[in-house]
Amino acid sequence: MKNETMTIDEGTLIAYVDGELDSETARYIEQRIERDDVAKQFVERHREIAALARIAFNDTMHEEVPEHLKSSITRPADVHYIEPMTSTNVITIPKRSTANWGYALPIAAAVAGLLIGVGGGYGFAGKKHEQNLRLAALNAEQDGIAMENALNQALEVNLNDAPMTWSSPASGQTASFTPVNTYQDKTGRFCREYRKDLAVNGKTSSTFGLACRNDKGKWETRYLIFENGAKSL
Amino acid sequence: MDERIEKELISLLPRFRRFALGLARNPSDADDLVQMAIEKAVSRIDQWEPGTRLDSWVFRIIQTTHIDQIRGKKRNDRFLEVVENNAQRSHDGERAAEARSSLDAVRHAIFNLPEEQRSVIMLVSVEGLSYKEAAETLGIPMGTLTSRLVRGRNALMHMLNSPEGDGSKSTDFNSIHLEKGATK
Repeated sequence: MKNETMTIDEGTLIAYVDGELDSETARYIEQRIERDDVAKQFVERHREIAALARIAFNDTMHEEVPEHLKSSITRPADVHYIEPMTSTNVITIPKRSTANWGYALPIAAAVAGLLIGVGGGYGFAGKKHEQNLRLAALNAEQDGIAMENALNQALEVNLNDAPMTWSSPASGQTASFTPVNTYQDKTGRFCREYRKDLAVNGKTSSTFGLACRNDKGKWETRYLIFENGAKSL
Repeated sequence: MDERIEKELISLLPRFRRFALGLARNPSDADDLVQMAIEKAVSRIDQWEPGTRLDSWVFRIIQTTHIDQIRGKKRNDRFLEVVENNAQRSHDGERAAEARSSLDAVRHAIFNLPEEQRSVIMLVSVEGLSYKEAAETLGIPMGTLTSRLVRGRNALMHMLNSPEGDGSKSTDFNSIHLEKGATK
């Protein structure tokens, strides 16, 4: 307010643009800007910028919301009560752009089978995937001890979607273990689906597994699904 | 949690992501921010008063979570942050003409606003909250809100008017002289 003649301040004009003035004041401003080109230009430019700001962020409104955000509402972490498993709620696994989550479906079905005690079959999977998939029990002794430890650690401490990486100093082989979902089974044990990404000599493969935690804090993998072409461990 | 609240939260997710993008300034940080805020919101949903706006309540959680994050980050990244800002500016100069023609310029200008002005612009201009709602959401007095809004809007106008994209050659709108006699 450095000048006596300045009686309508910017704040009032911007409030006018935002529709924040009562109707009487708004009418008054309208009359004033009709006679004042500077104020008129100011109002028009601010109107334009307000409109641009609105549409500049429109893309986000039309994007698909990532599944993990939805499931943090429908299936919050750190709750003791976990919804009964059904084939519909088990399948809501966060989407991964880097992996074909068609493979996740049999895992979900396997989890459902496990939890509702129907058996470990994966007949729920689409037939077209079946030929590319193999569901195998993991013999933990056959795994490299280091990788096994990394996996155990990932399942023990990492939140969903947080990868734990490991690399072999000798061969350069790298592996990353990412828990993707967490459940509690009928007996109260925690089970987690995870994704394992292996890279050997520039070749990568992904495996999806389900492990449950035993009383001693060891995560026992119960199912593994190999991507097409990947070798059994 | 009440199923209706659950549904409402899910339907509000696009707006939470939009607001978070304005604060975090890149999509992946924005989704991390939304995730954290949603987890907080869900865990303390009993603190939300039915009858009040659920969106504003979550906006506030997003904003405070964001502030907590940058406070944590600043301790580590102070130096890096300065370097990045400088690099950004010269890059902008080169492609200002190109960028100005698109909405990228507007987003970019908003991203360049100081933190406190940015949150106000996002709530009022982008999310369409009233001044009162925005002030309540941010937990600041109306006067503070309007002054941040005026500074933020003017800064945006300067950035978008200037050929350099940084406001250095903008018209000065800071003083408008009108006839005597108007009331606020």
